Amino acid sequence: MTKQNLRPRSGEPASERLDWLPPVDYPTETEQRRQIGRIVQIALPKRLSFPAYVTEMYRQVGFRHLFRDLTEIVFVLLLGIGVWIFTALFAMEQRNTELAYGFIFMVSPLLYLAISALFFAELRRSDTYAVEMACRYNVYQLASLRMLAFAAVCLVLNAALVCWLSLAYGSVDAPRGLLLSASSLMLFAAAFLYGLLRGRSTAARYGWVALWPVLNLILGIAAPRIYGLLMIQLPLYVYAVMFALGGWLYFRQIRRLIAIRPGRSV
Amino acid sequence: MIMLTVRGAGKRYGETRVLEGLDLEFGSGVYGLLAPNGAGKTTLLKMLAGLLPPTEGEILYDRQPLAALDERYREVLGYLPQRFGYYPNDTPLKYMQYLAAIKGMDRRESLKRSEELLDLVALGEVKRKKMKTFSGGMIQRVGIAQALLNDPRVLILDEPTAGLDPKERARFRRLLTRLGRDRTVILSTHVVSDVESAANEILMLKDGRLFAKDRPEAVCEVLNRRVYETKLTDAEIDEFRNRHVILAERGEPGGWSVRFAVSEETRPFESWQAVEPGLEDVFLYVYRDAEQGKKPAATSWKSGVNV
Repeated sequence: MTKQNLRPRSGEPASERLDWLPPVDYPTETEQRRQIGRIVQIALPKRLSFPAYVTEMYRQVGFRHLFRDLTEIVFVLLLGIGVWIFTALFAMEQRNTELAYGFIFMVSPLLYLAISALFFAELRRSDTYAVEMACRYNVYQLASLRMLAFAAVCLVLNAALVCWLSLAYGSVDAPRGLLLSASSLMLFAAAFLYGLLRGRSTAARYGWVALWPVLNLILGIAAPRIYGLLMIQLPLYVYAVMFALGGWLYFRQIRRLIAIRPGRSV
Repeated sequence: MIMLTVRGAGKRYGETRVLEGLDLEFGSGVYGLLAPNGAGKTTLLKMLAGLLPPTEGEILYDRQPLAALDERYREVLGYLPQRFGYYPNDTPLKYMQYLAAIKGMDRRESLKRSEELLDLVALGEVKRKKMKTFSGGMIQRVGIAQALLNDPRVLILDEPTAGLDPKERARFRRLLTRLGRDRTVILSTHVVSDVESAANEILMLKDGRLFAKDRPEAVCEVLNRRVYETKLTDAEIDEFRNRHVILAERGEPGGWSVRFAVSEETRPFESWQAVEPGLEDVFLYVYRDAEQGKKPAATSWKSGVNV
């Protein structure tokens, strides 16, 4: 619209004439676009993608605040070393390769389970919950960042353990062991978060988490041949697909955790 | 400018209705939320902080629902909960920096700001001491400092003066006045003197509803020419207690000095001396039945005289 369009035509009734209005400098097209862009930017801030959001959160929170304090770090380290030694001792004892693989598959998520369960138990118990919930990155968004870090730490520790077993005792094939360990961890981690977020009661959540070792044990004891075959006969790409699927499911759960609104709890 | 708007908000826990039909607007200034314990103050503040979603109605910041704003609202929010939690092995400086990090503040800026705020609440000298050695008042001051970390536009403080000594309370009131000039400060308390001088508006809750929202002077007007002082003998005091609402009494040789409020219909005696009602008088009068669990006599603020 130009200034001409606002000028009254001769013959218009006085009430419809606009010449009593003070003159307004109409903004240029460029200025209009700039101002519209600014309004849209303020009203509808750009939504970050999930990886960008997590990266931004990590950049602002920093590694220093990823774990609450030294006690938590020491606990994670001790737990990691404990599971490591336990797994190594058991695997070394095994003459049976199938059992060694089965053991790796079953215990790989244990470290993750222990760290995460402790973290969520502390979360609701802590007096700082209300203060932290009112911060930009609230308790659940922080939890999702920590869950990602825990999973990464566990993947690395498990990988180191499998490599060591493979090098020291040739009975464990490194690529198979690594894929078994990583896929079991990802599948379990996804299931763990799913149970936490969807479980309607504490008992249901515990029950869900306990399914992993229970099912593995039942299968291992009741049908050791089938369980063993699943561990050593399936081609490697099946485990790679399981790992990818588990990872995808895990990220989906992490996104759900990030989006939790106050008034809900896990 | 109106920053926070509450539209028909209420909160239920199962069958229990805690708050209902709240319509409020908050602009720049200090708002003192007065009510006895259990009246729903903390619930309302949690709702205003976005920590508790209302079961009915909505709460808006800058005309947008808090739920939609999510972390954009938390970026402009400072909150001190009624029970301020802390990590006992942390120093206040470390805890402040942790909270600054999860508030998304710049790391270099957060150290400077944390130190400034700890100085402001007179904890500068103990900023590197573990908080487990602190008194309740010192912890509360850490709580006040952390709420100010991100220079919030909306500051919500749930009983911020609990545990503070009179000197600290006075300093806190001065701080409140300063903060309220260009932001919304909402604080709850049942200590009337905390808000009497510092608050621009007083909000009173009763039976889960808003009972009053007005300037402190206007709130006090409801008891105009209804507050008196007199001296009574031991024989008179018991009957007097039954007839009027005692606001304060002091034992003296040979009797009692009493400050009391009367109903509108009561015609004063010559021996009664009329005094200016204060906010504390209104608080005691309005909530006179709260502790006894009686049905409250007051029903409406709007009518002004119906209390």
